[in-house]
Amino acid sequence: MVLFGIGGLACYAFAVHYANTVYDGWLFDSVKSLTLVVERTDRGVTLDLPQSALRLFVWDVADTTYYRVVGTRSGFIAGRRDFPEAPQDSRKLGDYQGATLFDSFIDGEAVRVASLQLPQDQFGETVTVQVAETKNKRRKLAREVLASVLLPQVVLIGAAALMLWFGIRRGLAPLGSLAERLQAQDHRRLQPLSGDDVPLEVQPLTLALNDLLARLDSAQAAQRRFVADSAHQLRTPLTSLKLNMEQALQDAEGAGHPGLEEGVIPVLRECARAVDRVSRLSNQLLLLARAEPDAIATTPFERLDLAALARTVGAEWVPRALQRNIDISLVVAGEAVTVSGNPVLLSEALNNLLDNAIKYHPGGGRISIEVGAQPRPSVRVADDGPGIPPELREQVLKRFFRVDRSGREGSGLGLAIVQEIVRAHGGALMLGDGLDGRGLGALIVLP
Amino acid sequence: MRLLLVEDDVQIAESLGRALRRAGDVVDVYGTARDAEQALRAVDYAMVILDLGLPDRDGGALLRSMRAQDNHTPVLVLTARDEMNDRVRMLDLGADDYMVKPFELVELQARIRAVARRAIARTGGDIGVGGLRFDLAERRAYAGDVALELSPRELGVLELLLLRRGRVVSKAQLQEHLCDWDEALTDGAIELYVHRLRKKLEGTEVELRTVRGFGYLLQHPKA
Repeated sequence: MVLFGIGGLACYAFAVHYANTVYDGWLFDSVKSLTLVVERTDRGVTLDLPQSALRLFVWDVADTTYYRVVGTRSGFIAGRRDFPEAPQDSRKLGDYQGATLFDSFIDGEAVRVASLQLPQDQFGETVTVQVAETKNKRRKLAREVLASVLLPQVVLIGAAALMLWFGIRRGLAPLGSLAERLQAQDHRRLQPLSGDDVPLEVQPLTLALNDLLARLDSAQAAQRRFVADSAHQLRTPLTSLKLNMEQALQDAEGAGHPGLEEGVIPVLRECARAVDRVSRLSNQLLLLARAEPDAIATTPFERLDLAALARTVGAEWVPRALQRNIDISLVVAGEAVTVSGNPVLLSEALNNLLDNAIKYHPGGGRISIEVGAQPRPSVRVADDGPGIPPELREQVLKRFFRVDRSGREGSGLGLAIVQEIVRAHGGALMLGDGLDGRGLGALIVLP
Repeated sequence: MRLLLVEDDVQIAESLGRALRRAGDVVDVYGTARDAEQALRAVDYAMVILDLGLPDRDGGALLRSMRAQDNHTPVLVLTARDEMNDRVRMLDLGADDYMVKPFELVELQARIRAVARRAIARTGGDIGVGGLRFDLAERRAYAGDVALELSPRELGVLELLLLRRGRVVSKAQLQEHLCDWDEALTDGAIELYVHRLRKKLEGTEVELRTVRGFGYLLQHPKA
């Protein structure tokens, strides 16, 4: 816009100059023609011009023309008496083939004046002929020139701006889609950006981004492998620890020594429980690492019957539930409920829900496993135990969050793992009320 | 029972061996597949407890060569791996059961007993719990010294429940156990046999429970 302004001003100056040059020539011609009719006699100077011709001379559609003829001896000879004098400042004077040109005012209107001094005649008189003209024509011409130059310029600049805008937009569009694809990335499963639809200029950027993503992904994978490996490596020593613990406890209990009952036995029991907790935690960590998307991606899903899976998994928990006097039941709506998934992980999800239901149940109640096919395949584990307050249901899905801090064995990972597994299958885990408006109802809905 | 424990981790081998011996079994412990194979040729074990991660050879390979040599000694596999593939592969190779480390000693002992019971059932012998005794050769059940009057189908139900006692037996499993290929029993028929059997078991120490949706479970409340 600034450039356009400067260009416009320059253009206007040029137009004014051009108009002045053209009309100054005309003005000079007028002065010159007047000088031709100056009659110089010994009686003085007269203007040899009929009134009709003079009217013609003065007449113009656009501008008013004034003239004056003065002589050094005769004084005022013809034309308008009140005529502007030439400025003293010679810089304001123009010159056109011997005529002096300058700007001035007549009756408050801007005029251009041409003044031509005739050579001294034999009578010793110097005659000066002056013509003044208002500037309408000049201004009009300047405006026309300006318009004829500026208008195409405006169109040109507009067109250029439009093209620039479209060009930049089109040029940056790949960056926009690149940003969208980056935004859409799952942080647990980073994938390289495809470079097919990216212009050549942006390709170094996508390459660098892909390199970064790849390094990030492998770092994440390494971290997950580390967790899985550590959990795995812990299993053998934990087994040994567990076996020895149980044996020591059995020995102490079998010894029938009254002192042991208050001394070492409670301590051993506490240790055995701690070992159980550690075993559980390492199992859960391993499972969590296995439920991560990149681990899931390596094991293809298979078609399986959710009802059969619930029956197999649930059956393993029946003895434990009965032991605690909990009435456990399985309800399957209809026949087979077919889903696509990883049987190990889905079994573990159900294992976790059942483990929680039994572990936190005070005993002497009910646990119900319900498998449904409509509207979507689902399995729900509901109990009439203590439940989880509605305001905490969101939080229990977070890793290592525990409602129950009474020291009952639990890793705080169970529901987080269920959530992870269900999400990996494209499903949802919802926590609600359990049976008879009490307890907890954990509902897994699969696609 | 004489057991063969094949486990390379010294700590586990020692503590597990000690626990099993305490329960009254005779246990030979070896740490490599080679030693285990030699022992298997020399002794007729009641059961093999086999760790998969052996230093010289994979436990699975040992199991495969055992079965290839027509050795049908029951095998219970122990492993730190618990991938589904491994589990399926082990059972395909002819393992009788499978436990993932770290396991509970009590659970392992229960599994050992279950595997042993099934092995006994294959050869014909006695299985029993809480005063209830099932003579597999005679195909008769006794409550104490009194013979129970059971129909062949009721005996079949009791047999399977005893073999898997403490665990749930589904109607489908009962049907499979009771029927030939071309026969079919309705769920209602199975419910009837179970109902009658439960009546006849009244007065014994065992309890036949119905678990809705799952099936039936025989338990000895005092055990």
